[in-house]
Amino acid sequence: MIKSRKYLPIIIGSFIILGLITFSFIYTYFIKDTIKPAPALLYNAKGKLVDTYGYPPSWKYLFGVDRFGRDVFWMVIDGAKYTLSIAIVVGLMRVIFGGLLGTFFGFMNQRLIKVIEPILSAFRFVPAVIIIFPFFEKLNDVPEAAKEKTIAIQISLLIIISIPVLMNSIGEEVQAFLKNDFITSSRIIGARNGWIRRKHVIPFLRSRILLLFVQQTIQTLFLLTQLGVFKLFIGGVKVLYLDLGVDRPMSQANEWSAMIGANYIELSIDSWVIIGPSIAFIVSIFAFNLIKLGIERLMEDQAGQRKKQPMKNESLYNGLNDFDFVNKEKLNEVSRIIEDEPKPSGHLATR
Amino acid sequence: MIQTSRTISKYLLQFCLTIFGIGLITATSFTLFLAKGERLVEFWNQLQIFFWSFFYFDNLEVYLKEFQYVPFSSVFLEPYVYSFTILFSAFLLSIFVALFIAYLVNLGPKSFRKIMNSILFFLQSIPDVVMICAFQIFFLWIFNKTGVKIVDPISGFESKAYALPIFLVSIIPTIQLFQMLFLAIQEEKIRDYVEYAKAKGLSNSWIIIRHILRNVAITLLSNSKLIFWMMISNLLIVEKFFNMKGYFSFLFNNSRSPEIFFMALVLLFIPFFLLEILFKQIVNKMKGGQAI
Repeated sequence: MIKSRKYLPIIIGSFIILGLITFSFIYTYFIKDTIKPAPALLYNAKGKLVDTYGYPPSWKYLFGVDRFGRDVFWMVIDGAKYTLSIAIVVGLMRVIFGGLLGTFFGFMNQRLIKVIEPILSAFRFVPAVIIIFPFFEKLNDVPEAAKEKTIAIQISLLIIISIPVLMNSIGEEVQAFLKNDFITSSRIIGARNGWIRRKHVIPFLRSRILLLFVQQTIQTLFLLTQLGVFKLFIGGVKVLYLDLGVDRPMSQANEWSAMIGANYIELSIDSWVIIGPSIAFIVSIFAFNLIKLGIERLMEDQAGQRKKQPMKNESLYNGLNDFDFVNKEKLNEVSRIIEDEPKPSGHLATR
Repeated sequence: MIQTSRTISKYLLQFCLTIFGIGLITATSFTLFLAKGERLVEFWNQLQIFFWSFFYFDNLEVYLKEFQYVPFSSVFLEPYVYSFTILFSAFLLSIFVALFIAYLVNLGPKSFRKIMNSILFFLQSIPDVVMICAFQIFFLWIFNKTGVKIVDPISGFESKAYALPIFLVSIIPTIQLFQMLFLAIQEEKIRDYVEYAKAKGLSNSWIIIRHILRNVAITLLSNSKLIFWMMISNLLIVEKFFNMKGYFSFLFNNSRSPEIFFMALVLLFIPFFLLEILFKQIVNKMKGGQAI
């Protein structure tokens, strides 16, 4: 019982995410064809014309219907697989590349790091949207034929953009880790960098990598919303025309961030068009946050257990000890000094 | 004396390298999609232009309309000052509010603390874009109900507004800061000196204000980079959504001319760099004071 409660946040979080993605796939393959499009004109019981496209949310249309007669709820469900898979893929790639580069970065010469670090901190300072903006702006007016290529370029840009920061922070952790005594002794015995990297650093990072992955995924979702505001959509722009000659840039896929960004003008008219994807964003980020919380708790538990165990034994079998140190005060002093030493903070930049 | 000159030269080197980094980023973003042969040449050219633009600062020109150019130095100052006023007042506001809430929550009972924590956990998963959208819908709703127009959704702020953007920019940093502070205070509370102070009979609020906050300030100041980063991206969105004539809309209007984009980024960077140095010095001094 206690064990399953410990995993509860992770289970709920992954259930929401996986559920959304599977539901989205089920929708495209099974449900999509069975749903009737919303009627263009809505009559009331007396046969009088009440409303046209742009219905507010009701039980029949949970998130309402937009100006082009599309049901927002199903659009959101359809978009889930794109948005979430983009976020997950980008998060995964970021962590893999960032982690690999970070382990090498941590081993670098101290002087070289001093030169490289300020250059990398430019990435830390300039918001990702500003860096990406000139790239994406040129990618937005790419012809239809090169769509796959465009998406590949955009996703790799999203990956590359945060690798310097990630590399830097992982490198810093590795540097702090390399100061441990067992690394020094391993070096004295004759271990080279490659050995230490394989046997010490990567196992150390492995516990972090999952947490980092979730963090990066959340960060990617945030970045996607911001890009949507600037009308920079993954997969290029499709223009929908209203009859008045008003055109609306829309995303090719029903990607959530694009739905928010493209429909921003609707805010004062049909605000539910934005509310739908916003709720979807909040729910999925919340789910990822739950997973993150669960992982953090597990890690804390592990660290706590490791620390607690020897203490417990000592206090339990105190009377049975037939072995004692002569200079007990000195020992206590030493252990206190070790405790007082500031530990490297395990925090990595969240956003 | 040698020490100070050394630190100054260290910071100067850092400054130059970061600017170099910004230059690299901008140059790459403007040359990546050129034809293959021109790419490297153009990249090198751009870097040179960036370098010389520091010396010919007065000659930089901003494209206004067709065949109309205005000198950069005359245009940038107004939105620059405007945006930075908003940024810094939002920074101060969020620090004060976060400190105040953290103080209140720590005085309150344990159940209250738990509720606060879970509310914040939920608030953390709202993207800034959605948050600002929600506020706009809320303002519209107020307008529909009472007829009080807080902000015009189409034309944005008529003149230079301060109160509302500051408020909007400071919400998310406040949440983050509060969480940071809350954790730090919680960590600090189990320390020995707090117990000692309690044993001496000092009141709870006195301990928090006099002792804990001083130690927590170190965490706060050393995390300021993150907060600044968040505020910049927040202001970016606010300016876009409310059609404000701030620095970031100026930046995006000039996204087609590399040297202006570069210069604008560098100018954006300078105040933050100075503040960071200041905070670092303060933290060092505080830590040094503790050791003695």
